Amino acid sequence: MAVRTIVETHDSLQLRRRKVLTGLGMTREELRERVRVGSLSGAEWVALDELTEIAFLLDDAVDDI
Amino acid sequence: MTQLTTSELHAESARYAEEVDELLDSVLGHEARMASVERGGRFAVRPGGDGAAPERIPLRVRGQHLADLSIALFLDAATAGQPLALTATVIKVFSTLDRTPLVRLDYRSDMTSDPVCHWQFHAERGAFTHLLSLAGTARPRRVPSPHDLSRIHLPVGGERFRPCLEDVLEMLVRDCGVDARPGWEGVLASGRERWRLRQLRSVVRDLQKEAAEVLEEEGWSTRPPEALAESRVQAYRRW
Repeated sequence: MAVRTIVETHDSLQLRRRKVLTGLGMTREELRERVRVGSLSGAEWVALDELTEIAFLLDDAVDDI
Repeated sequence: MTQLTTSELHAESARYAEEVDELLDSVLGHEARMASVERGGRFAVRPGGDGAAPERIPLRVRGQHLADLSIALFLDAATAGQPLALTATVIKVFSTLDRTPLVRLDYRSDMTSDPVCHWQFHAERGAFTHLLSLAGTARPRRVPSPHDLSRIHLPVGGERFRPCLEDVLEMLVRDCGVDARPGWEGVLASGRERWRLRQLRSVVRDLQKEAAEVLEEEGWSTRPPEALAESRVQAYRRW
């Protein structure tokens, strides 16, 4: 079976980002601060995986989420 | 060099995803399929189901689900139309108890202050914390979180000599007792050989003069091209 291919757009990625942050109940800045301090919760680690992917695909600044 | 079209880049990323998919199937069995996600010529290869979000691969010991493996490979072309290069890799092992990481392997070719490739361990060790606490008092900027050992970055080989996914899978099977399919050792050995030979070719491209010198020492005759590529030695200086 072939692997799945997904094509995203700038808007679809921004929407995914908003949904992830809404699910966490945080702003991007609040999550950035949580990452800086450390000791993330399980839900925050799940969100971080997705936000890292989104940031890469959007070609955001290095280290951003 | 021929410029690659968008569809050729898609195919290249899909081939990469299939390679990882086959590796995971042969070693762990299929519980999550790899997906190739693209936007603007940048690609993320990672496990994914029907939804848009990345998934994790269950790790079992005698069938009991005890941990999860997260894999994300990020591919990008250095310039438009050029072949894709793996510019970042994030591999994490999560406990199922609290869904936080046990270990992480990060590689990023554009890493600034941390090692280009490093392990981070989420563990506790009293004597290590003692060292870091005293160091944190003396040098608070360098050691800002002495209580958190996961802030230590253990460098592993830089851009060219870093571990591959096969190494992580072997550690999980051999040292952590994770269930594997029959024949896993051969699959990992073949995959590792493929990875290291690819890296070797990259090293030769980076350091052509050095490669030619070694070949001549071994009795080969070499002749430089008219336009010799500049040595890319910087990657071998970074930690």
